[in-house]
Amino acid sequence: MKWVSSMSLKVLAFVNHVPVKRDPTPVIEQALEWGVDYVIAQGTGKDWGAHWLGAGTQFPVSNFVENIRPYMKAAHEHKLPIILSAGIAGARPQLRECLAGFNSLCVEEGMEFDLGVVYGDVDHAYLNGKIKEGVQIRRMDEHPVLPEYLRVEDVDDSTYIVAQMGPEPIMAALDEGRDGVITGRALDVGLFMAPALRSGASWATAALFGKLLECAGLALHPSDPTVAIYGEIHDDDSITVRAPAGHQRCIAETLAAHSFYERLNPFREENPGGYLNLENVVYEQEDERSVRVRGAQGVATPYTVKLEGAAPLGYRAINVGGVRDPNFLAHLDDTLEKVKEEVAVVDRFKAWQFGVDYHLNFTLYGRDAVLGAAEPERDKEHEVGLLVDVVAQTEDLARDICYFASISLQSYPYPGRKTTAGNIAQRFTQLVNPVGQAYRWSIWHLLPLEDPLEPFERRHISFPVPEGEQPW
Amino acid sequence: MVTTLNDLASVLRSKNAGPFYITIDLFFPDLESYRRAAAADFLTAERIAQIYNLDTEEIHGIYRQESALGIKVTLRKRVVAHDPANSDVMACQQHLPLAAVEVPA
Repeated sequence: MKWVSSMSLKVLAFVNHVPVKRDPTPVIEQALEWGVDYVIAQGTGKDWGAHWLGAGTQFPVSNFVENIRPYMKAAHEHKLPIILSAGIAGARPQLRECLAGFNSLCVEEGMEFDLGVVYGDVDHAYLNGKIKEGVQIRRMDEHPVLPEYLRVEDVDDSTYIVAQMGPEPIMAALDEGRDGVITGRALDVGLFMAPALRSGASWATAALFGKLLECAGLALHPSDPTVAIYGEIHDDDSITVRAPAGHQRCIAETLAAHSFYERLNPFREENPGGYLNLENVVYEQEDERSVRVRGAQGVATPYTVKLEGAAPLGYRAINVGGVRDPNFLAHLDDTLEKVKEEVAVVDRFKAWQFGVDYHLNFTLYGRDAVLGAAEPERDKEHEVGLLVDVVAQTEDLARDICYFASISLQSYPYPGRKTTAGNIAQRFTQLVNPVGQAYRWSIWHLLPLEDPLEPFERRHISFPVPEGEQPW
Repeated sequence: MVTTLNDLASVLRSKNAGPFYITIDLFFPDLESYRRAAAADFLTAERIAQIYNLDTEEIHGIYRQESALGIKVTLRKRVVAHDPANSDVMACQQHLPLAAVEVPA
């Protein structure tokens, strides 16, 4: 395997959870022509909400396997080490599933990879131990729905807890796996920082390098996260970012604009152990497909990792229908309020408290469903899509309330009603559709660490594993 | 003729900045249109709060970066991403009230 000795690092990066739409072979070939030291691809995130983490599930694992296949074949053929994070929420059940998928891929393609594996899970007992020792685990965002400091009950309520590992556990795993690393939940930027720090880049350059490449072709033009990106760190601590796909360009303004993406503040990038000040970063156009970047400053802060935990909110059941009759549209808002009251007072649901034991929401597509009170355009509707949405303590209760509310709406005698056979065009014959459990973010806090490796379990696995074994 | 931010911007998008904040990014095709929108007295916290029916303290920040021809507006969510009543869990359609704002000539 090829390791980097002098300060030059060349990386081909993609995102492994977004479905690949076009064959990446020409992109990989272009990158190989420029030279590649590592193939890196992030595959964890919290963007989809708390459900995946809470439930321990993800998209079908075939999505991961098919997205990485062409890149893994190239990495194997050219002996390039890989660094992947995997499994969306990146907790143990998802990582295990991805490792099993990776193993099948190795068998199918006749490939061997000797890898370090790092789990992103943080053990409940370990975390409660920290709380009991008096470690202050403060919320990451100053939002009133989050407890200011993490409590034992928040930990106990959570089904799975992960942390965004920094570069250090990945560096440790790179010492163990000859051909690279696969992790669970990880800081995207850390996947890039690990090899950069190992090859001698400064902390700020390593973090900027990760920042520029983490979302792959999303930072290029036209913006497209399904296409790979290419980056190089030079001797003088500057970075070149290139578009390896023939149809994309790398534009200074577009690359600079990427620092805005999904961030509270475009100038301050928080990482474990420090933040990156991006205010003085300079983006210099080299040619149509490449931009030179330099000038990030690192500011050290106490080392923390971001904890993420999800707790069940309840079971969800929905009903979907359409309202077209102008007479009903005129009385719809009032009717919905009355149906909410009916549910609250009827004998069969009296034991359950609205907003605590169950949630009943009506989403009116075509009438302010998306923007609510901030909707600037009104009075244009001719029909409304009506979603009756119930979340309750048990699936039976959710289905029962959803059925009660939907039938009541279907036959509600609003003023001037002529449609005595029914008020709503129902979309599904089963009327009430259970759609699984809903979860909330129960933990969104910063765990201080003296040893950045401490919570994260590492293993060393040679793929493919002997038949019947599951060392993950 | 009325010019809105939607007319002026080449990228105008909203997204979660974590489950508890919405961030709205505006990018402009040239320095002239950027400077029109970036004027300090145009997009103020008071103005944004009024457009989104929020209190001024719920406006986390307004950031302007000339080298990126970009403006960022970050808002604290009242209905967070996991709230059972949330109808835009990734917050990617929340830019429209801002898009409709008229830009002074």
